[in-house]
Amino acid sequence: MQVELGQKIIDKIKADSLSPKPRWHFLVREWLVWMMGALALIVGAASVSVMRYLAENSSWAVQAPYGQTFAGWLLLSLPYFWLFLLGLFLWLFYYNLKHTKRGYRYPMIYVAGIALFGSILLGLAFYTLGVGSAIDGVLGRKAPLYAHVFNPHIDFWSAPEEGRLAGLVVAHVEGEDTFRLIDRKRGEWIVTYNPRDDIFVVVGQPLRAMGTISGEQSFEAVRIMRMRPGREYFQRFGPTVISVSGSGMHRNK
Amino acid sequence: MENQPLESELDDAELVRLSLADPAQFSLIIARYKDRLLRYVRRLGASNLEDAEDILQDLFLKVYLNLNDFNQELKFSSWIYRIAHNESISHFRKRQARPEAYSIPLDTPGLQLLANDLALDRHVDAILRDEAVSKALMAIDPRHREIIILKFFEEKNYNEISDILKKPLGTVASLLNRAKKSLKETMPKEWHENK
Repeated sequence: MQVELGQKIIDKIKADSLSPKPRWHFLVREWLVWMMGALALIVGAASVSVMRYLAENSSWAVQAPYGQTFAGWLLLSLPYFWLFLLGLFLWLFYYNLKHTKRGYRYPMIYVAGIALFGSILLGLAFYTLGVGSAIDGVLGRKAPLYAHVFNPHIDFWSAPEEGRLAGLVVAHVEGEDTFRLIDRKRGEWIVTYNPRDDIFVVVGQPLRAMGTISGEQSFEAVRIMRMRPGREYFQRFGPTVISVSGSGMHRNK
Repeated sequence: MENQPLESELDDAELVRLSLADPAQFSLIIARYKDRLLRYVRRLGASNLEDAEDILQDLFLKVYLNLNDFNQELKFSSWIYRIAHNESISHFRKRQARPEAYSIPLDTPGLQLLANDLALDRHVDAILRDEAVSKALMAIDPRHREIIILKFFEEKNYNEISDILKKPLGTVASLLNRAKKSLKETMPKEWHENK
């Protein structure tokens, strides 16, 4: 029987003209697995760079005066979408590495550790190269649900009744301590501020203000800060191009 | 026929090289591994000889088609056992058949080795003990059974098991410990030497 089996196999190889798959087939497959792994690591790192960039708008020290606990601030500020994306691509990296020729030899904890630290290190490098800012910019301009999904800080800073106002500066007169701002609901505000913060008030740029509502659509800011993540998002609400001269504010359609 | 005396002198890598050059030489690999793999496939649970031979034929064809994927850092026997393992599991899955309990040919040396490792009472009748170990082996989780078969019946070391099952060494060690523990728990308590 066993002699027959061997002969049967050789006969089948000959009858069906079977031949071993070429070496390049396996090399390409291995290369693809590595490339997919590298791609997963890069996407994971890009998520880290966006998270690091988003953290520029997030500071517990700033938000603590609003009576928020550290845990509450953390829950509110965590970029869930980016964390999910990072988790997904870490898993893809792990899966691909495990499917390389020798990947199974490495313990899960090492591979997961390499994936996590690799993503963080590469992500921080991407952040310094401006990748986080660029991705946030593209999403801010185009992505639906940007403020809810990609940048949870926008919601936090869009609560004027609680003393937090964010929006785009649409008009400002040099030497005066007020400017006009359009928030994400396209509501227009006149904001009074301390000239100390003058540096942050730039027409066409968004900012964050802490203070109180002082009248109908008026806000008195005690502190003004830049709003870097979400900068492009607020451009969606700028209905006009603004020019400013010493004698007043002009809006050009 | 001329190749017969040479076969035992050639190492596996050399046989692979010859098979790549001439398909007929692949019969040397078949001759070297068919008995071992037939036993292994049956131990994994191929219910009858016919089934086992079907698996064997498919797996040798797969080995032939993938000869260029053989990585020389690995022992050829580990590589071919890996294919045998995967082919058997996929065959059972396709047929939606559970490995059959009493078809598995478990030889006495393997059973003895296992009984010693499990520290079973040496005074128990050997035939009774072997029967009970065989039965217990069929009652445990298939993943546990597979690793015990590789260790005690195929006599593979940890590195080889790691390469066959594609698991890290640490996982192999802990899986084997769990498998032995589970097997021992399935055995009658009065047979445990350290009750």
